[in-house]
Amino acid sequence: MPLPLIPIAVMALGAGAAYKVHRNRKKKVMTPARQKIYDHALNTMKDPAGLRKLGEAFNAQGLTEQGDMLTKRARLRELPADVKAGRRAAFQKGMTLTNPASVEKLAAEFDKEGATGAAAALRKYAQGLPRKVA
Amino acid sequence: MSNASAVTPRTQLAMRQESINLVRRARVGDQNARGMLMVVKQAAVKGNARARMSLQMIEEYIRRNPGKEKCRMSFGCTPVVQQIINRLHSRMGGDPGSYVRAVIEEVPQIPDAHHAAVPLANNGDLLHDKGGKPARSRDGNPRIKGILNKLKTPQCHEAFMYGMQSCNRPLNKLQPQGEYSPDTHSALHIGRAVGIARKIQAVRLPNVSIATISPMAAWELGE
Repeated sequence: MPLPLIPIAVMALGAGAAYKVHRNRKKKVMTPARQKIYDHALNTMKDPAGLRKLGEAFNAQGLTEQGDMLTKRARLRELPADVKAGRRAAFQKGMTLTNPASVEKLAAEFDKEGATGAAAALRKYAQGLPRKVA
Repeated sequence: MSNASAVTPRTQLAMRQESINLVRRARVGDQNARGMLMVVKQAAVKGNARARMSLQMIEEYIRRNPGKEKCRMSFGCTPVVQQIINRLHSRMGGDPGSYVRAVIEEVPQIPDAHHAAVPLANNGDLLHDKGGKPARSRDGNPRIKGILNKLKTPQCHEAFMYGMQSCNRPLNKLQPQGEYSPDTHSALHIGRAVGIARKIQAVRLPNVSIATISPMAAWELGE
């Protein structure tokens, strides 16, 4: 390579690396706008195809936790009937428990499966149960 | 090399931001954020290195930024409030109306009747009449009849019924007609708590839709 071109090549490489770092940084960050879209989808969206599409979009942006959660929610509607019935029974059982720790544990399980609405309903119930004060 | 030491500075920054975000959301009543905090704590106790790091960040943020706002959401949000609730609960006995009233008077920082509704739901039937059939009229259920009998004026009765029928709506969205006296306002709260308690009891029955208590939960569970 001719000697005068070396600084230009170094600068170009540096600029390229900086741009890549900038893009990656932007890519994996949960911006307020993304958070708003995610929360809205989590709390109101009931279309499995839409949820799956949005989940893929989040995954493509490197936000795999949120993407996986949305994909799980899309799958909830496609579960076998007996699994759905079992979960309904578990939810109903949870609404009869009187130990807040047990209800919160069940809520955490629902959360893991993407059923955040059921988890929220159980937690709200658990809050009203008397509990020991340390 | 442990998991925690493998975390890059950029990931650490993102974790810190997410931890702060979770605490802020939990403080304004976001149930999912509270759940996530619990999951982080459980994972940290189990020995997950990243969860331990997150927990450290969460605790550091809480220590540096103690909550200033009043309790907005939970019976259990402060030990003092919890002690008051437990004391009232232990005295509830056969008069749920006075329990709800006592909750409203002694812990006014809890604005939502939902917290009074759960003990009501767990202490006797609110859905059926004496014969065990679903109560059709407003005073068909003996417990509800007992509460109504203790309300002094027709306005209180109206407020009770309005609260019971509108229990799905948040308290601040209820628009009572005319001026409400403290007694009437209390009746509205009691009605609302009883309405929510009835929904909790209804959702425990096999043939009742989960949408009664949460349409989103019903969708998630395949109804």
